[in-house]
Amino acid sequence: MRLSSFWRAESDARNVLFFLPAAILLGLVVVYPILRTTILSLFHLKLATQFQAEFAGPENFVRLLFDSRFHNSLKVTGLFTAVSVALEFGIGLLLALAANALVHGKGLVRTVLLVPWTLPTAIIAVLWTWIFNDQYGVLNALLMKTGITTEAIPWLAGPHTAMAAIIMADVWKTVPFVFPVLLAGLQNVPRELHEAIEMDGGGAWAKFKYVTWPHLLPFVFISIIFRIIQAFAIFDLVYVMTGGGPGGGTETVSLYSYQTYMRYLDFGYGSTLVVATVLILALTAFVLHTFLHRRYERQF
Amino acid sequence: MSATAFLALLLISLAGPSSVQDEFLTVLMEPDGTGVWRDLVFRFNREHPGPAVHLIEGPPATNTREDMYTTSFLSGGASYDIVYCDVIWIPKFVAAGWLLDLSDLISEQDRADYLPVELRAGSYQGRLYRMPAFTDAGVLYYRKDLVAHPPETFDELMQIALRLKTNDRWGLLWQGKQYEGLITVYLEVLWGHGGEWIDDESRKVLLGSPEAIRALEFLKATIGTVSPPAVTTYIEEDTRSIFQNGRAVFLRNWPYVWTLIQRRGGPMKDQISVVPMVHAPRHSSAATLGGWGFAISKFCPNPQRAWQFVQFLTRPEQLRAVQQRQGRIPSRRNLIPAEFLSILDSARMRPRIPEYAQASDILQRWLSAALTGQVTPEEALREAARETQLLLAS
Amino acid sequence: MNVSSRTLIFLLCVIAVAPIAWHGISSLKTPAELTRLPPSLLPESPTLENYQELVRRRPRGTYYRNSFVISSLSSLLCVAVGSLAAYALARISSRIRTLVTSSLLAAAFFPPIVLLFPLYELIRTAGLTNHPWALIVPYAGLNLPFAIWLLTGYFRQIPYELDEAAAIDGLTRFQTFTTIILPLAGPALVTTGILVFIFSWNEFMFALTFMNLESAKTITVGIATLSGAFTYEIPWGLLAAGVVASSIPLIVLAVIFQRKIVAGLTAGAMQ
Repeated sequence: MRLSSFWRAESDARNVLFFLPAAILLGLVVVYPILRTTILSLFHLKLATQFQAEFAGPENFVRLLFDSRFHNSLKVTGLFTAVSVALEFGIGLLLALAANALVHGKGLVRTVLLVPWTLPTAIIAVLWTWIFNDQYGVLNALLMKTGITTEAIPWLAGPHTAMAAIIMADVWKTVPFVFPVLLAGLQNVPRELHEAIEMDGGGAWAKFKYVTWPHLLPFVFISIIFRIIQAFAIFDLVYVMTGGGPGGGTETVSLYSYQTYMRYLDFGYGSTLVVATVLILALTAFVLHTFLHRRYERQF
Repeated sequence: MSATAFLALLLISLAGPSSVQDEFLTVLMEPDGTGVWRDLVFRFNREHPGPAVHLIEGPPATNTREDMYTTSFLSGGASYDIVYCDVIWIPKFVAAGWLLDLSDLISEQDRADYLPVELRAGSYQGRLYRMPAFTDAGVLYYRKDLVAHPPETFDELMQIALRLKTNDRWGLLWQGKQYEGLITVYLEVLWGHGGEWIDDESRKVLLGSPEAIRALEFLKATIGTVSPPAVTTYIEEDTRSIFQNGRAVFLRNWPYVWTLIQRRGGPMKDQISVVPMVHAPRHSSAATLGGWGFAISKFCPNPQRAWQFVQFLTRPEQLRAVQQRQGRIPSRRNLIPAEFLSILDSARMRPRIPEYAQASDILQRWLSAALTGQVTPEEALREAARETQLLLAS
Repeated sequence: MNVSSRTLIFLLCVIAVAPIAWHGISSLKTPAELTRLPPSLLPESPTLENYQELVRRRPRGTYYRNSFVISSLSSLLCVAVGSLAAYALARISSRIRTLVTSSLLAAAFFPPIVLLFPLYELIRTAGLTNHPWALIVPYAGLNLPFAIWLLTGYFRQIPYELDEAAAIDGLTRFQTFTTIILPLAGPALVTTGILVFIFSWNEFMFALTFMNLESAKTITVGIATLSGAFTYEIPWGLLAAGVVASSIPLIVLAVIFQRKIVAGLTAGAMQ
C-alpha cells in the first residue's frame, strides 16, 4: 500500500492545510527577513538619506572591499571558528572514545556534561568574565598557586588572551553538545569491522583510522557544518565578555554588523555586511563539503 | 500542560509591557557618585507638583548611554523622555528626528547668558534642540612652580617636558586609550598644526594632509619619552590622579580637574596653572568643545512637564550646586571661572555630521593602531581617510 | 586504557561543573571577601545579601516572569505548528519530503543576524516593541525547522496502518492527527517542547534588541547586561548571584529531562 497514493486519494489541498501554519510562520519570520535583508544590501538606508531607501546597486559592496574593519572581523571570526570547532570536536571525540568504553554511568556523565550546554551563552559569558578577571578571578589564582604563571594574566585586556578566553568559554559550552552526537556515532560503528582489524593484527590506531573515522565522518559531517555556521555567527559571548575589544581584537562579524545597524543606524550597509557573511559561509560550507567528500571516498 | 495554565500564560503575555509611562518621566543620567543629581530631582519633584521625574543612573561609558538612548528612540522612545545629552550626539539624534525643537522655548535672557558656542553646539541646521548645562574644553595644566614661562608651541612643550622629566615625574600626560577622549586630544594637536579632520559642508575628509601626519607623529613621539608608555591606556581619571600626586609637569585634561584640585586644597592648589593648548608656529591654540545639556525626546508624552524639568535643572542655582559637588563648569557666563572663559568661548566643535559615531570609531581605531606601533602614522591616517570618505560618500 | 579513560571523563565532568559551582560559592560571599586575594575556597560567613540585592534591584521576579511566559508560549506555538507540518511531511512522498527538509535545513543555515533588522522593522511598525509577542512569534519561527526535523523523524516511525485504520473508521485527516497520532507522539512532543523552551530562554540578540524597557527584559538579557551598569568596582557577588539565579531553572530542566534532551540532539544529528 503506497503512502503517496493514500494521500493523493484525499485532495491535495488537505496536505497544504497541514503545512499552512508552518509556512506562514516561516514565511514571516525567516523567508521575508532573508529577502528583505538581501534587498536592503543593495540600498542606502541611513541617517544621511533621512531613512529613505535609495538604490545603491553595488556601492555598498564596493565599500565592503575597502572596509578594513570588516576584513579584521572576518579574520577574527575565522580564527575563532577554526580553533573552537577543532577543539570542540577534538575534545568531544576523545571524550566519546573514552565514554564508549565505559560500561556503567554513561547516563550520569551525560547529565553532568549536559549542563553547560543548557545555559544561555550570554550568562556563560558573565560566568567566564568573573573567572578570567585579572585581579580576583579564580583562574589566575589557580595558575599562580600551582606555579604555572608568576603574574596575573590580564586575560581580557590583550587581543590574544581575550581571544583565548572566548574560545575557552565557547568550547566549554559546546563540547556537551558535540559529545553525545559523537558518542551516538561511535556506537553506530559495526563491531565486526573492529574485530576484523584485530584479527589482522591492527591496534587501536588502526581501528580508529580504518573503521571508526570513516564511519564517523558522514555521521558528524552535518554537525560539523552546523557548528561552523553557529561559531561564525557568534554574538552573545563576545558582546558580553569583551564588546569586541580590546581594539577590535575580538570583534566578530556579527558584532560589527550589529553595531552598524544599531549604533551607526546604517541599515543598508549593515545588510550588506550580513549578506557578504552569508555568502562567505555558503562558500566555506561548499568547499568543505567537496573537500571532505573527496577525502572520504578515497578512504574506501 | 493544563488548559488553565495555558490560558493564564496567554493572558499575561497579551498584557504587554507593564509600565505605564504617562505617570512619570524618565531621564538617563551619568553615574551619580556625589548624589547631587538625585538631590536635584528630588527637589524638583517636591517643589513642582506634577508627574514625577525618575532618575535612572546609567553606566559611566558615554558610548553605552548613547546606545541606550538610540535603542530606546529606535523602538518608539518608550524608555527615556529627557536626554542628558553629549554635544556629539546632536547631529545623529536630530537627523533621525528624535528630539524636540526648543528654539521657541528658550528665553532671550537665557540666550544671552549662555556661551554662543554652546548654543551652536546644541543646534542643528539653525534650530536649537539642546539646552546647554555644562561646558568643557581641553586645556593644558602645568606646574607653575617648575615652569616659569608656559610653552606656546609644541616644540617648546617638548623641550620643557624633556628638561624637567625625572624618574619620579613625567613630562606630559594625556589620554591615549582608544575612546572618544583620544579624538578630543588628537583634534587639539591637529587643529593646532593647522590641519582639519572633516569639512562639515563638503563632507570631505582631510586626514591625508602633512599637518595631520605631523600631529599624530607629535603624539607618538611623546610616548616613552615625556609620557609614560601606559599613556595609551589612560582616560581622564588616570591622568588626573598622577598629576594631582605631583608626578607630572604638564597635563592635558578638562576644566573639572581645576575645580577638584582647588577644592582639595593643599600645596598643589597653588602650584597649578592653566593655559590654552599649545600650537604650531603661525597657527593658533585649539580646544575641543565638550559638554552636556538637556534635550527632550519627541516621543515624550508630556513635553510641558519635561521642559519645566529642564528649565529647573539649568537655572544658575542648580548648575552651581553641581559645579560645587562635581566640578563641571556650567555653560552660563557668570558661573565660568575666569581662567577658562576665553578658552571655552573659542572652543571648536567636532564634525557635525550624523555619521559622527562611525567616523569617530574609524579614527579612534587607526589612531590607536599608530600609537601602539602597529602601523605608521602615515598609513593609519591614509586608511582612516579612505574608510571615512567611503562612509560619507553618499 | 580504561583507567585513563575514566580519569579523562572525571576531569571533564569536573570542568563542566566547577565554574557553575564556583559561582554558587561566590554568590554566597560578602563583597569584601570576593576581592580578597587569594580567593577563599568556601565562604567564610555565607550570606544571602547578594541575592537580596538582586531582588531589590529587580523586584517581583520580572525577568523570570518574562522569560517564562515567552519561552513557554513560543515552545507551545512551535510544537503545535511544527507537529502539524511534521505529520504531513511524514506521510508524504519521499521526493517532496526530501525537498522540504532540504529547504528547512537551508533555512537553519542563516545566522540570526540576517533576520534581525527586518523583524525589528515589522515589530516596530506593529507597535510591538517591549511586548512579549515580539519575541514569542520569532522564537517559534526560528526553532521551527529544527522542531519539524525532529518531529518528522518520530512521526515516520508511527505505523501507517493506524492512519489507514482511522480512515476506515471515517475519521478525517485532522481527527486522525489529534486523536490517534498525537497521543502516540507524546515523548517526541515533550522533547521538542523542552528543547525549544531552552533555546528561547537562552536567546540573546533579539531579546536585547526588541526589549529595552527594564520591565520587559528576559532574565538572560537582564543579567548579562547588568555588569555594564557600574562605575568603579563591579559587584561580582551580585553578578554571581545573577548567574546562579538564571541558571537554576535550566539546570533543573536538564537534570530532569536529560535523557530526552540527549535523545533529541542525537536524533536530529542522525537524520
